Amino acid sequence: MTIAVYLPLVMSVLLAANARLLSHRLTPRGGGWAMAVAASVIALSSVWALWLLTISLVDELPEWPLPVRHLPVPDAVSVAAAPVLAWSVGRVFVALWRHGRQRRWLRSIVGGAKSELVVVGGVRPQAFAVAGRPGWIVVTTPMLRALTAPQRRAMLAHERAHLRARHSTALILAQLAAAANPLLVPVRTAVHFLCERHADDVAAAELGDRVVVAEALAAAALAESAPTRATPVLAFHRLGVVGRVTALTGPHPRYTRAGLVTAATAAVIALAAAFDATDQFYHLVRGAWPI
Amino acid sequence: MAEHARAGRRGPGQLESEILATLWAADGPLTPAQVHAAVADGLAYNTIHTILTRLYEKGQVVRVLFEGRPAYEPAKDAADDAADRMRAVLEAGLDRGEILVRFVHALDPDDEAALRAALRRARRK
Repeated sequence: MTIAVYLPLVMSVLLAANARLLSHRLTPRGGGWAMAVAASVIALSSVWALWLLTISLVDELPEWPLPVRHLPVPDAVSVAAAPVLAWSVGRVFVALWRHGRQRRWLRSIVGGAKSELVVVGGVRPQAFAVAGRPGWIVVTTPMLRALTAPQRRAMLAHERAHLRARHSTALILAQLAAAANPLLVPVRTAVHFLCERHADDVAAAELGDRVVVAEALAAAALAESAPTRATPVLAFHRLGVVGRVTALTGPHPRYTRAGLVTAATAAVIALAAAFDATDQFYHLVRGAWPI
Repeated sequence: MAEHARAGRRGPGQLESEILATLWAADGPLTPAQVHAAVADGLAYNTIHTILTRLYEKGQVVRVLFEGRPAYEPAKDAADDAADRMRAVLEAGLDRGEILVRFVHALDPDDEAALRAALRRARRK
């Protein structure tokens, strides 16, 4: 309990510190999902570890009956863990609420759509996929006009790839993991990047042309950013469109198994440590109350 | 799996979306021949015609006469409804950044320069 209970947090830092590297070394196909699952496991383990740290305060109760006077968690740590735990759980609820709100909004746009493609008149240039059975592609008219015919085909293939690979679920997992444990925010960014690159790769394979996909991305990004240059949008800059265009047009990226092994190992260690800490906690307090 | 489909091949659902997108991007109604020219890529004219008819039957496009010939343009009501709902929510304060799966995110000026440079390199190849 002196070490194991802190390992999930150590693993979050480890995975987050390597997130950027992993987002270039993992194969985009399945890599996003792998990191999303690893992040979720680590987030769950770390929330559970916080809970163990918090309830270790029981040894301060006046009627504490055990001969072992103190659990091996300093009171200061327990006192610090409690608000962090509350904050983390609160963040998860906020993320879930936002997700529900967004889902309702997206459904209100695609509701009653007769086909896969839902065109929205005259707002800003935008294109995105809405998960469902079988899912929809929402595109605004300014976006359609900003692209040439082959670029439109690339964009549609890209969005369709998101739907088929269920990327939105992987992204929600990563989002919730980052909400529960903000140390994992870089991992969420990496999941996003890998999902986008996977969709880019699928579109490039479908069209048999990587440059067209890169041009479509560039045209869309330039169209979308034109009116709002002053507003900072998301912090995906470094990993965003430029990284994707470079991956599409540059030399073929090298993928290694080491990335997958790192993510999986971090997740397994975090989970095992959470179990181990729980087991130790149980053995320490087992005799405390006659049950 | 479609993911491994050979370049150039696409299913009827995909073609429907593509043709619809082409009609939406156009400034006016398009004749089947114009649609064929835009999405060409080895597709038979008849295929285009079949899909335009299907879209017409579903009420997604309308048939008009353009310079004496039958032409198609998108049925705009649904799109305007969706746009209104979208605008209403955006005005109510839903952050655009909350959309999880978008084609692209906006750029900052540095990115824009990097993007143009990457494209120039790609086109030279």
